[in-house]
Amino acid sequence: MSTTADLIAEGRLDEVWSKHCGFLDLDLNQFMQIQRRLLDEQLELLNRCELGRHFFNGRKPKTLEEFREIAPLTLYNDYLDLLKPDKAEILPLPPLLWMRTSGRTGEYGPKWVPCTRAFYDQIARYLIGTLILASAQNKGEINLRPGDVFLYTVAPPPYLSGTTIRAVSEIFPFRFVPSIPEAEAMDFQERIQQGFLRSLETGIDFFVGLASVLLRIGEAFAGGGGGGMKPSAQLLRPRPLYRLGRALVRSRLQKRFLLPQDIWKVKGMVASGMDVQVYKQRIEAMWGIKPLEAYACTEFGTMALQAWGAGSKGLTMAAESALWEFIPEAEYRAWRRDPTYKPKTLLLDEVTPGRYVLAGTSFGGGPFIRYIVGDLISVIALDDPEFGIRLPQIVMESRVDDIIDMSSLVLLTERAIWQAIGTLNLPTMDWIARKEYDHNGEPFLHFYIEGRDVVRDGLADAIHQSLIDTMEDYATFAAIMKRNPIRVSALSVGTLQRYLELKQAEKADLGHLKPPRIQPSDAITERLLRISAELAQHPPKH
Amino acid sequence: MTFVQAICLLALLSYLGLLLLVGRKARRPESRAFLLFLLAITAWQWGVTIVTFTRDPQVALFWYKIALGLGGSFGFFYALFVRQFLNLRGHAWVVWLGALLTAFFALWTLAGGEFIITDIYWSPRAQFWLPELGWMTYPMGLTLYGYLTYGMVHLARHYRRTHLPLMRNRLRYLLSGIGLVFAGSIVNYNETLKAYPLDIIANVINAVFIAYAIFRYKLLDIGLVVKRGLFYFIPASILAIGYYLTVLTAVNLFHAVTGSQVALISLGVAALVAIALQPLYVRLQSWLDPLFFREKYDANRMLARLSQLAATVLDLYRLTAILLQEITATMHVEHAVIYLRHKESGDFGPVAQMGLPRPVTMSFRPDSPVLTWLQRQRGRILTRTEIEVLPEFKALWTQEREELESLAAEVFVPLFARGELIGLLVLGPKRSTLPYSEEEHQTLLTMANQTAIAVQNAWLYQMAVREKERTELIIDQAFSGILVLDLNLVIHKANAGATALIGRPIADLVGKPFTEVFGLEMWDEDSPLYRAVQNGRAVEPVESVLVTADRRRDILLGVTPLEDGYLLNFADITRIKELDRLKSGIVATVSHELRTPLASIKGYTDLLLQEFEGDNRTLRHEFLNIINEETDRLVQLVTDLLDLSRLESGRLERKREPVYLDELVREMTRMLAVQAQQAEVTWVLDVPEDLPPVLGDRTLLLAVIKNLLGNAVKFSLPGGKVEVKIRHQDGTILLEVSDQGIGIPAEELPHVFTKFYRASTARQAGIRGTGLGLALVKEVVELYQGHIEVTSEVGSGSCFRITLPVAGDVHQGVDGGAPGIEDRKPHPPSGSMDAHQWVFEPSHSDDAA
Repeated sequence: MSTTADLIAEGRLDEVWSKHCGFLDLDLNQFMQIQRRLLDEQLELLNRCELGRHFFNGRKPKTLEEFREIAPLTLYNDYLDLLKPDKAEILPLPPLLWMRTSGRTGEYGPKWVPCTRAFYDQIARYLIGTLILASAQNKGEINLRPGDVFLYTVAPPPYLSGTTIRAVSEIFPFRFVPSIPEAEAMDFQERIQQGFLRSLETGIDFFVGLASVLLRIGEAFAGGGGGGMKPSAQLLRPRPLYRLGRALVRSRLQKRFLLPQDIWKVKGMVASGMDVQVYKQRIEAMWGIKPLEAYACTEFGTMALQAWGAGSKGLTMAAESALWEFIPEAEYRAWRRDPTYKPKTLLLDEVTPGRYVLAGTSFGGGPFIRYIVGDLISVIALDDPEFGIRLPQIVMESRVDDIIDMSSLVLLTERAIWQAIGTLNLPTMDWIARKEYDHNGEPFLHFYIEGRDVVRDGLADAIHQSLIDTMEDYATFAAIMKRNPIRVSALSVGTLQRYLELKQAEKADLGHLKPPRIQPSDAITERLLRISAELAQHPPKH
Repeated sequence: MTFVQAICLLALLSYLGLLLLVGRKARRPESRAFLLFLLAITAWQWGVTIVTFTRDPQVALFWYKIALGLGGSFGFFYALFVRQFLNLRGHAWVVWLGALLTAFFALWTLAGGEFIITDIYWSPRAQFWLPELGWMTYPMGLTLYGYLTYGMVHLARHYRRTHLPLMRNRLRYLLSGIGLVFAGSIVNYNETLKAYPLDIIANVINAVFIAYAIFRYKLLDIGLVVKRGLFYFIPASILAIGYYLTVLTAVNLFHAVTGSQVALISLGVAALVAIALQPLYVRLQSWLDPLFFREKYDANRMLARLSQLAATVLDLYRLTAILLQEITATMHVEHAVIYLRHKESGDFGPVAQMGLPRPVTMSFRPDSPVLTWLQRQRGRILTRTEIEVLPEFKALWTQEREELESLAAEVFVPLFARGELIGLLVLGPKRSTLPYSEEEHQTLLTMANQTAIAVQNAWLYQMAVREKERTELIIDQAFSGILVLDLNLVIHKANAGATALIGRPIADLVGKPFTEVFGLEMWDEDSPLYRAVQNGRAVEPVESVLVTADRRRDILLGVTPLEDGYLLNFADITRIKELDRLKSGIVATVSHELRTPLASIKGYTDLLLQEFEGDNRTLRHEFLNIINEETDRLVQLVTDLLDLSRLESGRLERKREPVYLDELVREMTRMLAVQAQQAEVTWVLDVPEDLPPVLGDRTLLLAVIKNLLGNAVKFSLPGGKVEVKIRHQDGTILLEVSDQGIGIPAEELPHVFTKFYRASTARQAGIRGTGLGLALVKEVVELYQGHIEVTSEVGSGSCFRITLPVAGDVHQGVDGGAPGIEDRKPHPPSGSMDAHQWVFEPSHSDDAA
């Protein structure tokens, strides 16, 4: 079998595109044929294993229709006693390795997810596809080359992102900075620091990380901070010196501060996080390239990707990652209220534009059956003629339970709030938002905002107006309520970082280092306010 | 010509040849870069070759400058080619710097060459002019070798990374060739060695290597261009030479001297040559065709053979075997498999294979992406790479991928017949490890189009043959008789059932008129055959009588008119009819045996209720005794029926326990003592004390003794004797019961053990009975591997003998069960005849109750 590196070396670039990005060329029939066939295979495996018997209650579904009739919708709670490394024999196929992800405070500890051979191959193949798309400006353009420098700031194995990096390293000769064994031995901050320091020597071809990290580094340069890189002997070597000198000249010629794009010419950038949409343009201004959006989760790997050049408005679903079922939001909420209710689900060829909760069934011997990922997504269009994509386009809205319900008139998601804030052109900031009640029992939406020179008079009104402008439901809500339900409080600069450090010191799980942005608990909010007050009294010395 | 000159000329011609080939199809960037490299190295070789031929120092100096100025850039162009060939991006400065330096050195050298070639001198050893090199040749050489090294390093690195055999071969030749050039040219810096043409020899080898890589490993896809060029060049050259020689001969012959004379002769010769050499030209082409287009030539011949084959062969296995043989041999394919669609399931399964060590088991489901793709992309061949990269093949199951992997298929050729995908030809890799070319794809598609219908016809034919064989087998093996008559009612075909029923061999039946075999009775107006012939419609089976030479049989005969005759289907129902008769008799006997005691019971019960309401206790007691006896008879009748039924059905568990027959006989004579006394019969027992036991069910064996002894008493005449004798002999126990009773007619003896059979003497004497007792006795004796026989004479009495194996000669326990099972149920108490205590199999435990 020809590897991707072989195909590139032989100039068979069309085949490389087809292999990694061909999913964008599928039509709905082809997409559904893949879904149906792979489900047939999965049903054969499930019908033979204890896990399948457990969820099918002794019955043996043979077709997609029977499966949807027989199998229940599941949550991670349903797998608590089943997904354990010492109980691998009950799974459809023995796992290659186990991955973990953060659990749910108060409900269960870390989630353990078995990773089959097929899953391992799939995550690697899609990451290469993601990088190709991130570095292409046109359809079919392949800018990936063996030996490309790959910088990543993601969690190490056994988390999905680290596992994916390791899987990719086995099928494509990237040059990872720092090398994978080194990186896995470092903590998160050190890895970022070392990665950027070494990439002064090597350059960066591809970068994968959180949007906020990309932005923060860019801003550190723009602020004249040199990207937060501490002086080091490594900087005194010829290549870093040359690279920095050249970047300095470039920035001076353009009469501005040094930016990452002056130092590195990045071919492709992949960013994750709900804030990508908002920070996209700023990241592009600093790095000279638009980050591509990727939607993935530990249970199913890559779920959807943006088209080439990070230009498409929506993301396209991956056909072979799982059987995708879309639960209309109202149906989902009815089920949450009454677990005996059987919500209607739609397949991809049945969806219409609207908001859905996504449920997936693993393929290739994975364990999840009609598993609710927990994300609220929107189908924004049934195709994308601009990019020639014939499949529905989705965007991620928020975690399905991370929603602020204002008088049952409007459901505010994290994405909706980011969109509203994004229109205000505020300096870089971070926030959390909670529904609280005043002494009259009136609910209000309380924003706690951290950022230099962000909180000012009239900010609450500006956010209110922006929400009216960007959300139809909110506009209706505002018209009915005839009041601004938004209040804004400032958090001292560094509050969220301090919170993170304290949680790190407490050895908290990686998924719980940062406070939830939507509806954090009273305890978390109080702790943040305490930290903020301390920082106000004793600001850190820089 | 010196050796050096010859080598130089050879190298120059090699490069010119390569230049010509590559230059004709240099469309892709890597081909263009390679052309530049060849131009530079040819310029170098051109200059050096001229230098070796010239004696003029000025000419030598000029051509050295040309060689160095233009040829010195080959290192840079080589690096450029490597970058394009390996798709290397980035480090654009390498290219710019190389272009700058190369241009500078070329211009500097051509413009004057100061500090590059300072002077030239005649080398007596080399026998040509050699240059004095200036200091600038060092930076110039550094550039040249630097870029050569750059190219070689990248090639080597890629060689290490790739595992594709084709790519590795290409790289191997490229690397070896340029490595030699590198080493050969560097010797020019050595004063002693530069007099030897080592660099030129290296150049020749490099040219050969490159040419080999182009032809053998498709380094640049110009193979076809080269072949076509040579194909037309050779016959054209031969013709031109022929033409030239003819003109020369004609000019000499006619002593032509002026231009117009020569022109006139040339025209005439041209016309003659065109006419005379035309057949030669055609012949030449037919010789050259297999020489230059061997593969194409072979493929065409294969297609012609297969086309002929398709029209003549109907045997699927032969057709597919030849097909696979032709393809694997002509296209040098390692292995091949033919798949055909199964009519019912729609699956595509393997029907023939070649070159694989094990039989292929993989089949394609109707929804397989492979089939879906081939159906959609009508007229296209699917390749392994497409399966690897096209998104729709993500629908393949892991198992299917593994199976495809083990099939090691390179291409999947669809077989379409009448617009329908009916099969697949799956080909493995070529022995050369080269990929299949476009031309080969076309050949395979043509072959598929030509043979698909033939394959389908053969497949359908085979199915029809199989179906026919199956039908014939069914007919032959049928128990019922089947005859096929022609329209003249002559037997055309007969099955084994018919011959068995008629009692004549097939040869004795076929060709005979129906009436000759069956007699005219079967052809009367009511006969089924007559009706079918008259009405032309099928006649439902009706009962008839078949009279053959030695017997008469009841048959059920149906007739179905066929297109060209009649089908007679008949079954022997003689036994059924006999059984029917027997059943009627049994029903009558059982009814009688049931009705008689019931009538008696009913009568005495009525009397008790109506007539004797008073207190006549004696009479009532007598009536009740009668009712009790009649009830016992009924119970005995039903018990016997049930026991016999169980014995016959095999549902009875064969219990084995040691049983002493002498004990049973003594017990039974005690039980029958009253009955014997009433019948005035005397017992004569000859029963030894120390007899060994037999193995059996005590209750069943007691029933045997009871029946034998009871019958002896019942059928004895008053004053008679009943003798019971037991012996141990030859590992068996012999029990003999003889009486001096009414006896059984000799002709009835074979039937006395038949159910419900009653001897005529018993019936005539009015002795009541069911005809079940002896049937039960026989079943039990045979159940325990024993034997029973009877001798009798009417009026003198009968003698029944049974033999049973002694306990040591048979296994103890329960057939199919654990020994000792009898412990669960105790033996019935002595004298008890409760047959319901027999042990039955667990699943039938309800019956035992």
